Amino acid sequence: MKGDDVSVSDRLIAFLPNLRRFAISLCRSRDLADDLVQAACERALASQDRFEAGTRFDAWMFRILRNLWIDQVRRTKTAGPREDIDDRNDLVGASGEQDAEARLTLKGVAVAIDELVDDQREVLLLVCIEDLSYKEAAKVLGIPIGTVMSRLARARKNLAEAAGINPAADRSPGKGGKT
Amino acid sequence: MNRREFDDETLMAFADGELDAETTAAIEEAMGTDDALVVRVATFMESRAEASAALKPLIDEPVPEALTQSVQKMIDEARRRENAPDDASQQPAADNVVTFQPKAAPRKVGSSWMLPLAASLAAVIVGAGGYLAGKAGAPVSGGMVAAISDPVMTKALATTPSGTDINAGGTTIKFVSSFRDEAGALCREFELHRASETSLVSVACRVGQDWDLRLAVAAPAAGQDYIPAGASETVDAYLTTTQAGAPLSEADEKKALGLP
Repeated sequence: MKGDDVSVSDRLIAFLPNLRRFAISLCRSRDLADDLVQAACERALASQDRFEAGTRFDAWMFRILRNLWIDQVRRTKTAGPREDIDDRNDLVGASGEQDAEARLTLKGVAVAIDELVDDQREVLLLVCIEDLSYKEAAKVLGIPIGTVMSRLARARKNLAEAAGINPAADRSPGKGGKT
Repeated sequence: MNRREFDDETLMAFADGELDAETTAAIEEAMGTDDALVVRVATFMESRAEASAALKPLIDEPVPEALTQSVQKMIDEARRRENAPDDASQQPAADNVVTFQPKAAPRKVGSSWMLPLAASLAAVIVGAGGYLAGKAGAPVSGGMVAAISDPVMTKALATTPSGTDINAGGTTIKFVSSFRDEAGALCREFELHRASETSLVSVACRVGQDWDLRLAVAAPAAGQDYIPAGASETVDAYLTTTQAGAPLSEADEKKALGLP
């Protein structure tokens, strides 16, 4: 229990950058993301006695935020607010130190993630970015683990295709080949 | 030998270290002879690594001051409410709140980004078979998963404590660590160095009386005792994705090897 009895309120501020990244990637808008983060923190504080010590705080927060987002999408009855492509391109943010080529590659991947359908994007974010297990992601999203896996596999194949991630093309062993 | 087919979900779960031991072993074996399968697995590993790398800068972005202040204010108010009893009766129902099982502490990776992994997987196909075959004078099945048949190597794996080097026929074998894999098998991480040749960072696990080579990452020749960071990061990434346990202590390793 030691180290787990840190309260929700003690953890929230430190977790803000993480929560905000998830929100931005999920709803693809910084303004909406900040609103969602604030609403999620409010909800978390109001129900902090529901958080069980020793369980994953990040997954609990992601679930709260994601459900708020779904509510909002349903209320506005749109496919979710979207910014134009220029705004989305700056998802990569201030990565000034990387060389030009790396920036191009990374930007490609960020945009490709952005262009995934919501179902695939959210599961990709939870597993590949936030390192939740399939089981944890299934709980956050309220779907069976098999659905997590099929969506995640599709998301990654689409991502690989869109961003040109292809280990066979440029990283072959060079000598010998098949044995 | 009939070839078993694996669907995308299974290969992805393998790449993510979420697969049961039996299927993991089957895929590892198949990867030894099926280059296309290796490429499919590598695609799943690389898509994860690249997605993670692409969104990493977002977490370093400063949180807007207004947001931080607003949340801090809510926290302060919540604390005040806590300290004033009888006021807590109007908390909203939190029907969207679930709890999670604690996740087993993951093995720490030196670098969180697994970009070199896919590239190294490809290199392994050529590296492991040729190197060990050349050394032992007997061919091992040219893939990354091969039983180690060289008796010198087998004996060294079974008897050399970690932190020790041994020399065998011009090859230096450095034993790095021992750990248990997901299925509980004893595994050893070690490095093979031979002058003027590509060095290998390897992981082998004990199966009965034999040792199976699970991973061998080629590193350019760079002297007798130096492995470039990229190669060891790849091994770390592999250990993480396969849910390897923490390194055994000296005493636990002795016990596991049956040494006095």
